[in-house]
Amino acid sequence: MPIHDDEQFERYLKEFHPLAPAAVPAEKRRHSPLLRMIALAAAAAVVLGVVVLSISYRPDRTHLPHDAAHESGSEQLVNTQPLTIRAANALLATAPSFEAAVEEIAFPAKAIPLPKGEHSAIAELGKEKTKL
Amino acid sequence: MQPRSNSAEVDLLYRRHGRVLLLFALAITGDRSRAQDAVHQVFLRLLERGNLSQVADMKAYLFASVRNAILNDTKVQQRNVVLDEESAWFDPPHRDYAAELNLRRALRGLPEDQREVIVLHLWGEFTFLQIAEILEISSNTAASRYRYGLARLREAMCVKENSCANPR
Repeated sequence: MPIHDDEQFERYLKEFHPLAPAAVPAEKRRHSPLLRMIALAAAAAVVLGVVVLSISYRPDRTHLPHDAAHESGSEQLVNTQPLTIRAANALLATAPSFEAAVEEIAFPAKAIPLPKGEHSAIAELGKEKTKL
Repeated sequence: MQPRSNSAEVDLLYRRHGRVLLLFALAITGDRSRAQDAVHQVFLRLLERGNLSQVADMKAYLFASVRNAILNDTKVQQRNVVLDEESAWFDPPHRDYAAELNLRRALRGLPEDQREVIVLHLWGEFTFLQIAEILEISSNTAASRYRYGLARLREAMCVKENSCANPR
């Protein structure tokens, strides 16, 4: 039976329910620009952290392994501490003269540990009494 | 990072309006995948937004956004819209798939501007004033498009005997 009344026809049409769309893809949600920016910022922070750590924990190149120093047979400067104003002031206060203090700062006299049974040649020569 | 409440609100909007938005997009594009893409695009943009409270009429905003997304896409593609005959648009009453096909064909036979208004008023339950705002036309134009569209739809659907089921 044909429908002649508009309202009746509208009611009939409303009985047809539109189909549901597919869900918004999760992968598209994950890759939203905002999240991408956050991920990039986090990655940049990690890289920066690694760089800073690698610089601050770089091994002191003035240190040489004991065996290497011993095998070379030559004297090596073992500069374990950096020169600070405090250390320089202390040297100036205790040194017999200004020149001695400057010399000590420039060429610090560090005791190089020698293996047991070996003696420093300079120390041995210093013990000798020479007649001039 | 987007607030959790925004995501929940968007999910709710999707469940509430997703069906009619897809139908509206189908009525414009005629192509299911393009229609779905347009709806998804709008909701993904909503998810990216931090705050939805600035939008006064969210439902009208959604429909206008979907329409704009489709129109922008159509401008890019520069092609004529051909309505897809294969995919269903409706879940018919009492699984009457012949009636669904009949309705879909009748809707397809309407001019696009009448089809838009029919979908928005009948299934979207918008007033002619709201439709006027969404489509950027006057409310009188919206109302007259609806009247003409409905008359043509009824004519197309009921041209054969018993092609319009009895309303229950």
